[in-house]
Amino acid sequence: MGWIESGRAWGERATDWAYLMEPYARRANDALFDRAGVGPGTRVLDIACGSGYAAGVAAGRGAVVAALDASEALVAIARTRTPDADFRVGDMFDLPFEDDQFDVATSFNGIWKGCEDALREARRVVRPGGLVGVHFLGLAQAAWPAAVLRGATGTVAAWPCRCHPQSGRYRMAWGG
Amino acid sequence: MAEQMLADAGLDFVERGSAQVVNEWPDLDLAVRALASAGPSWPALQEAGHERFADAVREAIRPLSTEGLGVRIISEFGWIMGRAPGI
Repeated sequence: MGWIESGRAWGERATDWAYLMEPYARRANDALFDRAGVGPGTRVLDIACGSGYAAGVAAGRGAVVAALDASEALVAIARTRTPDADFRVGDMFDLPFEDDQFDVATSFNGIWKGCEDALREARRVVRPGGLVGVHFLGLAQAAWPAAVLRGATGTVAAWPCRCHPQSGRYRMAWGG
Repeated sequence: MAEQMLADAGLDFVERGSAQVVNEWPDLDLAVRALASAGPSWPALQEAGHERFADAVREAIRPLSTEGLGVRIISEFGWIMGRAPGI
């Protein structure tokens, strides 16, 4: 599954994801932004940004925000949420940003095991001394949706990472 | 494992932590609709169809539903932070 198809999977029900799901991560957004010192003037990139909820939280702190996702439908919602931010549709393995452009790069459940090259890209675009923060599901939390989907389909469900070019398999177990 | 991923990406480990997050919906139908919107649900919906998918999800989360209080799913998310070298 290429990143365009992953974007389609995540964007198929974009408004439901944006308004019924993505806000659940607010506490996680704040936890990571707090630790990274995100505040007025901080240059932040959110990778696999979905509908831009986290990007909006960062912008609310006064940060200068850019963000990227594979789903055009989700990015369209993100742009309406935070018109002043720089949202792009694209591939997290080939970020359309210059070297050393950001103080902080984050990803909320967007970079998982198997996505190591996305972390290298994140490192490239943050300045020397800049921070890269990644949120991820623990193993216990990863197990239940897999079981649910397995029950629904009778097969091992695919779990396509947003933007991941090889995301035809379930990839979540890096919380250990 | 996550620390090794940071190291492989050329990042210096800074710290690791966790945050509790909560999904809340007023009823099972809205919860199923929400969960159907996640990317991982897409191939399942394609393979099983909406009705079968919805039935399976509804039964899976029914224990998390309380009459009059809605559906709550509490999860613990981990996070890790690294620093780009150079300073």
